[in-house]
Amino acid sequence: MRELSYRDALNEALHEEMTRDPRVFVLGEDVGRYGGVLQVTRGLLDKFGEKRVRDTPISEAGIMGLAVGAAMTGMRPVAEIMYIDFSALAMDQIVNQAAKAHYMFGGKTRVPLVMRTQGGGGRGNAAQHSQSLEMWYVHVPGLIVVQPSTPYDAKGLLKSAIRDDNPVIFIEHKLLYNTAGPVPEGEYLIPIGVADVKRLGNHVTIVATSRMVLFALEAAETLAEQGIQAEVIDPRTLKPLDLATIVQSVEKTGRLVVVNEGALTGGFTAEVAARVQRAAFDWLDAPIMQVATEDVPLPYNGRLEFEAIPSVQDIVLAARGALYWNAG
Amino acid sequence: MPTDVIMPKLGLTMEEGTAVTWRLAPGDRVAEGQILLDIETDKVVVEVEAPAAGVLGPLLVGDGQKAPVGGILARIYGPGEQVAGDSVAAPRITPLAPGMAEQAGVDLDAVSVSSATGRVTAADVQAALGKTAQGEGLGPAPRPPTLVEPRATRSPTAPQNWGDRGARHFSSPRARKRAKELGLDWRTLTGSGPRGRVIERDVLVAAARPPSIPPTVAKPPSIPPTRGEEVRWEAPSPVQRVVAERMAASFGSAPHFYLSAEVRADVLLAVHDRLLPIVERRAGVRLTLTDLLVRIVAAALAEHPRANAFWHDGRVGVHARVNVGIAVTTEAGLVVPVLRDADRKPLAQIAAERSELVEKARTGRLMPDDLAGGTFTLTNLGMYRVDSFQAILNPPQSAILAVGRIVERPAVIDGGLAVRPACVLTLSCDHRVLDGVSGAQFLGRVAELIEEPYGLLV
Repeated sequence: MRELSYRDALNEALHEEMTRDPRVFVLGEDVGRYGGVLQVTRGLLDKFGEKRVRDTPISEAGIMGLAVGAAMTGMRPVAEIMYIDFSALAMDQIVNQAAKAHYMFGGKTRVPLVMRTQGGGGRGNAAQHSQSLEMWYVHVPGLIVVQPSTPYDAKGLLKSAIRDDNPVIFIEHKLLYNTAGPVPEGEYLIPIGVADVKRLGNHVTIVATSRMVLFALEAAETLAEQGIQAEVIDPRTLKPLDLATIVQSVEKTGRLVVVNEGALTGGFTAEVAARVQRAAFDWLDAPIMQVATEDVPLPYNGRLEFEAIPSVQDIVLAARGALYWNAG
Repeated sequence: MPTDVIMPKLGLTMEEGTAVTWRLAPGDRVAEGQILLDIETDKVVVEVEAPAAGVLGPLLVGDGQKAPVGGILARIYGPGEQVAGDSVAAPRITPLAPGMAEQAGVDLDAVSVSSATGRVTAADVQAALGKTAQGEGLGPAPRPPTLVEPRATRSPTAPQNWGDRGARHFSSPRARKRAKELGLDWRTLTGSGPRGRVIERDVLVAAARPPSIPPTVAKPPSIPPTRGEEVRWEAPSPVQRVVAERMAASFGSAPHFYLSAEVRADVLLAVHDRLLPIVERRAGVRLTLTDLLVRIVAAALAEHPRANAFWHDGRVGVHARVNVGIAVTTEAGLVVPVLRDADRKPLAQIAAERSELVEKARTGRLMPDDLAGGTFTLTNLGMYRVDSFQAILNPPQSAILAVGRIVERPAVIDGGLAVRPACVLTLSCDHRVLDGVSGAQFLGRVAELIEEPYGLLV
């Protein structure tokens, strides 16, 4: 199978969906002529013209307000917010308008928009450009939150997100754009709300999201050398969460490590831990381990940033801890 | 995060240990692998190494104090980690304790801490409550379920001085589920997890092995001394306590019977004298009569597997290997180090290994592995003025041989009277495994080899 970068897989999804459905259009800062600072919208302007590829002023509230209005009036906007950190400026449009309209108008309107954005640290972008804020959106009823970790998932999920009639927060990771992976030729979709088992194992379950999936897979290699077979699950969609796949794995392994790049407190790891303990209490043989970012603004200094964000070794230690293997 | 120094689990039956001597004091620098303290288990004293480098925090379990397996003895703080002396040393409080204390009107500061974690637990509050209440009607205050966990449901073999304070017996949900499926009572198991938590592995291990002690031994009523009699109470050492429990369990559950035979020992003594210098040259140790007896017994066991067996759950388990335990008296009590594969080892090697085991036993340095895996036991009181004695089976073994002193005795030979060295062998048997005839055949073979040790060469 051919290999594509995460960036090109997303780009291909946009090309295909805009070709398929004339209602689909993209908007955002520098998405047109420049092709997006992350080059995900590259080539769209030449192919689909200025009407469907709109460069906007630097106003996140404006971008999202426009997207909500367009979606309610029958379009399928794909808005790019350059950094998820900046989405704070558009919060009213996302939380109070996009997420609520379908419900508050009694189903008489829909908001089929996609907010594409990217988050995560590890690139020395400092505290205002490195956050993992996915849980802000997971917390809002009415929103779907997607976080692909591979090129294959990125393409299939973006296409599904565009076709979904609900507002979808589609969160990419700034350090995944250059990663490559197999992406089949031709059309395929990945359903929203379905987790993917990225590696099979019997001894401990590791649930990880976004870039942490790659870390978890690397940790699983290290663990395998130590005789521990880890099962790695990528929920891919944070909301709605595919709890069944996770619980099924925990019933097998009896141990769970949850890894997320967001801050520990009030984060994704706590949410998964709470749900799994209720659903699989009798199967747990050890406390559920959480691996998340320290509760600090992410430092600019690379070494400090490395310490704050979960590392492969953190995941290895957590998995060993779940197996009561910590002494060695 | 600081690294916990925990009470290690050194054997399948180990549930708690005693911190005998700390080699370092709080605040001392520690290198990884450095000896931190000595701990005493049921049977041995073992050194505990530092699991990490750093600075030693406050001792949560002091010299002479006990802690359950997995209990935190101290913490080691790495570079940059705050040695939060106060917050670690100050008794922390478990979630149940404050509510309990408030409900019962007990001053939390006045509650003494019993657990090794240094935390005030609900059980401590209850203990304090018992002291202050003195039977006054406090009313049926609703109590958290942990407090009413009846002691009767705890393992009959659980060390009482830990469990008596109402400490909880922890287990993972998975372990409980698995135990239920396998028809085991998880409360009777020893946990290998933190705070002695029973985890799934412990259940599976327990299910796979025969219990060393039958789990359901009816507890006979203990008869107290007459009121007013002057009694001095002595606490048994950990070893004495284990011996007491195991012997009571063995005697109460295994139907014992005894076979005795007097054997001439003149040839054995002569062989011993001849081999002494040879073994000394080969192995550098003094050959003892015990070594010869181990070799003889092992040879006989290899031919009579029923004496090398055990009863479990309605079936007889026959050991494939011949591991002869040797009863050794030490200052701490009776221990039985095991000489493995004694039927396959030359005498010089048996002598060397026996010498090392006995030395380790006398100095309290036996490791759990030295004591595990025995399939038969030899006990010899020949050095005392004991002609013969009947030993209690070392559970779950089916036989034990007791050897009395060798003295000159009159013997009738060819109608005439002669005097020659002899001793009395007494074999104790578990009648569920051996009957009179099979026991007699085994004892007969041992006697034959003692009277004619050259038979070993054949």
